Amino acid sequence: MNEPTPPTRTVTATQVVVACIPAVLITFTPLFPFANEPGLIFGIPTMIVWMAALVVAIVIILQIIDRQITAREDALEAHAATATAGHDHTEGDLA
Amino acid sequence: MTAAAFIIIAGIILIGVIGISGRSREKGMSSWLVAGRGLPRWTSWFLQAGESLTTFSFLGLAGIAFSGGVSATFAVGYLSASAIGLFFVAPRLRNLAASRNYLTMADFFHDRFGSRSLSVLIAIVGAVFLIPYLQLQITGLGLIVELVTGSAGASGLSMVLASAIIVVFVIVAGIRGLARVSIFKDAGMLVGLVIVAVAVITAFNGIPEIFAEVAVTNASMLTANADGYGAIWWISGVAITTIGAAFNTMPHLWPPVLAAGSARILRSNLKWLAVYQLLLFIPILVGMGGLILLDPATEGNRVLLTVAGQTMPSWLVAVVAVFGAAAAMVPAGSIVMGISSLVSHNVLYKVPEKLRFRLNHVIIVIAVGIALVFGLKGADIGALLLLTYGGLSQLAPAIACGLGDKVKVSAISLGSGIVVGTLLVAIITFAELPIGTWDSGFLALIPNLVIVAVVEAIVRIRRKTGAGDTGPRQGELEVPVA
Repeated sequence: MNEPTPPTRTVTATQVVVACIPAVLITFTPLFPFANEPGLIFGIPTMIVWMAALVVAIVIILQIIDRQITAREDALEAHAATATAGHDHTEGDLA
Repeated sequence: MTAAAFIIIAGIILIGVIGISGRSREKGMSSWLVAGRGLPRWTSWFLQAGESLTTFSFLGLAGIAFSGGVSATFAVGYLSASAIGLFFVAPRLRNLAASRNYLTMADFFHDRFGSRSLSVLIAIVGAVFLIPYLQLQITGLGLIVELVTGSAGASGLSMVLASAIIVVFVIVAGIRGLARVSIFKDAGMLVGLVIVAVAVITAFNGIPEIFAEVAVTNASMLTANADGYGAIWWISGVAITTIGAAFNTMPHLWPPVLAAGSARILRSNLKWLAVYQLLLFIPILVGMGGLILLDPATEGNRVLLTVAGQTMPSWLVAVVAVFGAAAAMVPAGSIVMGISSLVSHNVLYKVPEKLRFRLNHVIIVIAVGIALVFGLKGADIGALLLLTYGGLSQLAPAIACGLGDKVKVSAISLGSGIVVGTLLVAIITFAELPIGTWDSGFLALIPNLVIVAVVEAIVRIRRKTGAGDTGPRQGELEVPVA
C-alpha cells in the first residue's frame, strides 16, 4: 500500500506570497485613488476604513495559514512517531 | 510638589516595584535574557505586542496626525505589515536559537555566517543605533511629565528617577521583570488611551463630528497628501520600516522572540498582533481632534496631552501620564537589555563568562547614563526614531540570508553592505542631506544591496580562481527549515 508522503516543509511559497498581499497594498496605499481620497465612510475617513480593513484581512489570512502550518507540523510529528515506533517494533522482532 | 507631579512620581515608583516583585535576583545571562526559553503564551504576547505601544505612539503619532492628518495611519500600516513578516521569520529564529543556543542577534550572525568579525560588527552597530532609541524613551518620559505638571524641574527629576528604576529592575529581574511591567503598561495604555478618546469624543459629541469638521476646515488632512508627507514619504517609510521590523532587525526585540516557549506560541501571538495596532487609531483620532481644538503652532509631541488637558480633569491626565511613563520605561528596559547583552556577550566575548555577566550590569548603568545625559539636553523624537529604524534596517539583507537551510552569501559581502548602509543613514541624518521626503533607510538600502552583490561576485570569482581564501566557507551548517 502506498502511504501518503508527509510534507517536508511546513511553510510554502504560496502561503508567503498570499500573506504578503496586504503588506503590498498597505505600502502602496497613497497610489490607490479609492483609498487616498478625502471622503468619509459612515463619518470615518476612507483611508482609516481602508487601513482597518487591511488589518482585519491580515488577521484572517494569518489565521488560515497558521492552521495549515500547524496541520503540517502535526503530520510531520505523527509520521516521525510512526517511523520511530516501526523501527522499535522491527528491532523487537529481531531480538 | 503638585498633586499631578505626586501621582506621576508615585506611578513611576510603582512600575519599579512591579518590575522587581516576585523573584530573586537573576544570576545567569541565559535566565536573565531569555528566561530559559520557556516563556508561556501570554507573557510572550505582552513582551512582543507591547513594543508597538511606546512613547512614539503616545506622543509622536498624535503629533503626526496633527500635522499630516490620516498620513499617521502609516504606523498602523507598517506595524501590521511587519507582523506578517515576523509570523514567518520569528519562529524560524526561535528554533535556530534553541538548537544553536543563541542569546543575542549577534550570536545568530556568528553561528550562521561563521564569522566572529561580522558578529562583533553587528553587536557594535546594534548597540550604537539603539542608544538614540533609548534616549528617545527617556526624553519622551520627561516631556510627558513636563506637559502634565508644567514644571521643567519635575520633568528632569522624573527622568533621573525613571532611569534609576529602569537600571534596578532590569538588573534584578531581567526579561521576567520586563514582562511583568509590560502587562501593567499595556493594560494601562489601553485604559489611558480609551480615557483620552472618550474625553475627546465627548467634547465633539461623536467621532464623525471630528472628521466632519476636519473635512470642512482642511480636507487635505483626510488624504495622505498633506504638506511634507505624500506618496514618497509613505511608500519609502512604510517599505523600509516593514522590511526592518519583519526581519527583526532591532536587537532588543530578539530576547522576547528567543524566550518564547515554542515556535507555535510565537505564531499564535503574531497572527493576532495586527489587531493590537487598531489601538493606534486613538492617538490619530486625538491628533485630528487637535486640528480643531488647538493652535496650529502647537508642537506635535505636545498635542495628545494638550488635548487631554483641555478635555479632562488634571488628576485624570496625571493618571494617563503614568501609563505614558510606563510606555517609555518598558521599551527603555528592553532596549538597555539589548545594548548590554550585545556589548558584554558579543563584543567582550573573550572575558570569562561570570565576569561578563557583571560587566553586563555595568554596561546597563553606562548606557542608561549616556541616554539620560543626552535626554536631559533634549532631542527631537521623530528624527531619533528615524535614525534608529533606518540604521538597523540595513541588517535586514543579512538576516534574510541567514534564514535558509544553507547560508549561501559570505560574511564579508554582507558586512560590507551593512557598513555602507549604516554609514549612509548616519551621513544623511547628521549632514541633513536634501533627500526630500524619501526615507534615509530606504535610500541607504539600495547601495547596501549593490555592495553586497558586488563584493559577493568578487568573493566567488576569487574562490573559483583560487586567488583568495576567505576563510571557512560559510553555510556549511545546515539547519532544517521549521
